Amino acid sequence: MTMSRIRDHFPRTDPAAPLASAPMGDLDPYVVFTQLRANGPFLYAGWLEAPDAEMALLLARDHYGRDQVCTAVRVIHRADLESSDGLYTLAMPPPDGTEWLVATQKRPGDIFIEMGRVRAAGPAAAMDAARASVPGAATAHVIWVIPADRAVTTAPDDLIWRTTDQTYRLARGYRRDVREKWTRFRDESALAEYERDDLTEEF
Amino acid sequence: MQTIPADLRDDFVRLLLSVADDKLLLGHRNSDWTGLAPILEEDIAFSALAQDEIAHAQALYGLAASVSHPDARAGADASGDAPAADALAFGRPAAAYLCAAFVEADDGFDWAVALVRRFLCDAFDAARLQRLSGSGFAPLAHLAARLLREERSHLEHASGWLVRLGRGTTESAARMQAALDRLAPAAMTLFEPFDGEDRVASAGLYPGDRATMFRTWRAAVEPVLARAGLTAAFTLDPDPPRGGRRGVHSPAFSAQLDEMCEVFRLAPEAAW
Repeated sequence: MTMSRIRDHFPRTDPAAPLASAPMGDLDPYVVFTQLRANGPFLYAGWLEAPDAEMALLLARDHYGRDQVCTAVRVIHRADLESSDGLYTLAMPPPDGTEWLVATQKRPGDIFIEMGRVRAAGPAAAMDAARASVPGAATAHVIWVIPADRAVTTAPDDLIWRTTDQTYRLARGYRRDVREKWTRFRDESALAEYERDDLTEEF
Repeated sequence: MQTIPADLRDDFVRLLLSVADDKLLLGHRNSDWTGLAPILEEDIAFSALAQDEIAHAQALYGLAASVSHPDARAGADASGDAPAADALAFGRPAAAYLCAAFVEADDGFDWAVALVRRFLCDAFDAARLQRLSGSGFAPLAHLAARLLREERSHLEHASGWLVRLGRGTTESAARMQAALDRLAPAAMTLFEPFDGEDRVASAGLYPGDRATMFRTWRAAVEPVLARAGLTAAFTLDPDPPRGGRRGVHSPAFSAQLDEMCEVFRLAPEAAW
């Protein structure tokens, strides 16, 4: 069953047939950070692919910027990222004395949080400067450094979180009776799962 | 002005419905792409923007409901009376919908058509909301000013794709131009006046006129088309035939409406 009957008319092609045009592969990867409150830290939100930074920012606004109330969105091309664990390598080092953004992952599995800025000549020096001066960087599991002028951020008056009712995006947006039904269902599911696990362990 | 004079109420409600119906139908049409758009990122964004259109419609239906039945729910704000707004959105016969033919049409699951239509509609909506933000009816002026900020961000997004695909490959440019060739004449149905438009315009509830709005729209559309390397000719019909704005819809519209209103009709009083 489809969500909409118009989808029954979606044009289908033979998956074995050759493509009408060659795949271009011209989308680049960008990492997205969101700022959830004014003057708050930028938090890692996820990745996306886009043809350029301007389009990446537009897409990030309408994707990661809509997950929750959000005051700013920042995108960084993967090639502008240097990671202390060697996963990402800066493609083109900036001039000496550049300002770098520093994001740290405290423990494995934590999200990256932008913790400060340093000035340094090259990514290795930026990493050292971060460990020396940025809170938490010395003991962080992974550090990312990014030339600050290559990060693309929304302008203060850019609209991200909408002005119309968006509560349907949030759990609290559901009416109390729907929420109670959901809580009841979830509790029953949890109990059933617990009982199943219990039986498995006992027998 | 905080209340609408009784002799203008029906015309004013038609104004609100013409805007809300455009947004509801366009949101409904564009949400067909959820899960099917060519790239994941735009799939999510396109769906989010479609939801915005429906949220705008909801706010406008709420306002229309409060104007139609001012005593129905004391203290209801512009987006306040949800059941009445739902009834307006989903509980009317086809001939009572005042959306333009342009937003009703099936895009045939042609991504270029979907993008070009959204671009032309977003530019139209931005011009219309700009006009409404000067309304003499304060609740509408405030609501329109709020929605206008969102509509401008929609237009920015649509323009971004238009320019990149127009300037992309030979194939993407050809597809965008073909979509524009097909849609440019139909886009003029957006400008069809609803019954009573002149009266609400003269009363300052919908300040301005069609010709000025058409110029404003072209001033927004044509520079983007030029940057995209696309061309189109737009001509405003001074006396357009009766169409969607006056309740005359295509035969396919009833079927579309049946699908869109299916859940509401199952349980009109349901609370969600």
